[in-house]
Amino acid sequence: MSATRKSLWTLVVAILTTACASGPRWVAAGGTYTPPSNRYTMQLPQGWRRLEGQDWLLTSRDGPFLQSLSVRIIEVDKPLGKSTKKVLARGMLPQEAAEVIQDAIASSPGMQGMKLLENAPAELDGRPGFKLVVGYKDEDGLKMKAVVYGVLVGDSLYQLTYRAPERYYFQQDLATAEQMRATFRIAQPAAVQTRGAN
Amino acid sequence: MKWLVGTVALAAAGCVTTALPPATASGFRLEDDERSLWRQAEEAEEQFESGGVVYPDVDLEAYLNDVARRLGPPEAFAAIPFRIRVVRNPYLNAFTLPNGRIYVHTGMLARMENEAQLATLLGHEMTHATHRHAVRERRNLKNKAALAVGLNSILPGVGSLAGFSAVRGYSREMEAEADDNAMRLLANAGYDVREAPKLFVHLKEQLSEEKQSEPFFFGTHPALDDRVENYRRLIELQYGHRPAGETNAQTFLQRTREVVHENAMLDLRAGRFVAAERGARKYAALDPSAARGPFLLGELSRQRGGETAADTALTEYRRAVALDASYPEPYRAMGLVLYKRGDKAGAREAFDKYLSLVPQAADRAYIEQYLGSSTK
Repeated sequence: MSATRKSLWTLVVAILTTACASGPRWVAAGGTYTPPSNRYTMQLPQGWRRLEGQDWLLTSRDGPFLQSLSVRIIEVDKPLGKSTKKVLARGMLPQEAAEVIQDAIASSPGMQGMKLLENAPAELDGRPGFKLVVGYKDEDGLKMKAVVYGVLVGDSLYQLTYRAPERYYFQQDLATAEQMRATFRIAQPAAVQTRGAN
Repeated sequence: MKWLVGTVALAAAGCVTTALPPATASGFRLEDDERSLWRQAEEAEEQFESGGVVYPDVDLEAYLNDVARRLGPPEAFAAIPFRIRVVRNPYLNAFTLPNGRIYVHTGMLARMENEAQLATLLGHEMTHATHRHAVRERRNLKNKAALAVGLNSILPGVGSLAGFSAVRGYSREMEAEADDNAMRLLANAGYDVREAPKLFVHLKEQLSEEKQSEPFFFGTHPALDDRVENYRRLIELQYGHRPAGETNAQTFLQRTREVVHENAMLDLRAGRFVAAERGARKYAALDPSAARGPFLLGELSRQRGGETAADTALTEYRRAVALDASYPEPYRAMGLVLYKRGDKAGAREAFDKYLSLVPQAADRAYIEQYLGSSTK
């Protein structure tokens, strides 16, 4: 089982475990999505499903192994994962934040032969950020491709990642993923009032 | 007759013998389960290598294989087609597949000091293959009905090979056997046997200094303690009287210089700053005329952050361009530091120089954005 799949399975199992207690599970997406933290909004397409946490979201149409768009919020000075000790810092240029995220991806377990295909400035909610496109093989030797958008706002990096097997699936839903990105809006600090996780 | 009784008893108990002669013994042939293990290793290895993890340096590989040949008796190479490969991975590790493929991480090579230390490691690893530890361990586990234990361990960067015991380390007895035989190979090849414990003392000191927890066998304190103790004991009991042998430090350091740089980059990417700094300084000392040394030290300072980070980084970048004015990376990095400082004229000059050296730079769009804003 690949690292990507392992982490997705871990996420799924964790959600299912907590689901017994509190109820969150894959639910139909579609329409405006706001996370429990109320920190952003995004339009999700009809026919997709979603899993959510306080500050993360996983959406997919055919299942996360075939395509997924995830959103996560990473705070500066907080660990990015077990495989890297690099952290984001306040005031980083988009290029510097991209470098940290790129290195975190490259150092992650199971990542094989990662190739950076693109690293360019990009906007997220009209704010200057970055876009990374990477290709890699998972532990099963499956060629994967991912597009990562990120923007650092104050002490938080908002990161959107679209990931799919390179062959067929990546191209199939890229336009949908880009549409979702185009609708991503970061909430003004005053508007953020945490709703209870459902 | 005793043998027959023993075999029948084992068969009745569903057990297979774990006492196998080494592959160097006359009449060696693979047992059925061993052949299957070799096949599995070959398949997993093919998948592993297709992932782009192997460090592609033909000369270095030739050097490592020469050292292995010097160590191994001809009958070992006749029985097992040894081949040493280098894996791009900053963690301390080396492992041997049953078919004689030995993988040494860049993290291991970069931290060694001389050829005698390399020979210690290779001798240890080769023994795992010649003494058929993989099949013995598997039979042992099978006998204990615990085959599945540990086969699904999650280790970074080993992918399809994670199921092999070699990657995680063998039983204590087999590791001790590998130490013992490695020492014999080392001594027979004329290397300085005193370097054997030094290697593991050195690795242990570095691990402590880095405050790293590492997932692989050679990156754990108990494993390193065992190695130090075993090699010291062997010297005391059997090899203490020997005159000092060869270390071939110069040759080793010259041959592995680029690995030191590569590994320091890997450490830097993983945010292992202490290890990265050690590697960067070692590389800069090994090749004082290379601009990549000070550039790497500059990058380390910039990415690590801190009060004086920008000044230190700028000093190193300037040293780098003084060594090689056509090296583009320090100009880009200087531009970034100066841009963040608000020195727009300085940033522009550095970025212009960078783009003049690499017109097709992958990050040209970022640079043009900075240049656009630095004229405002």
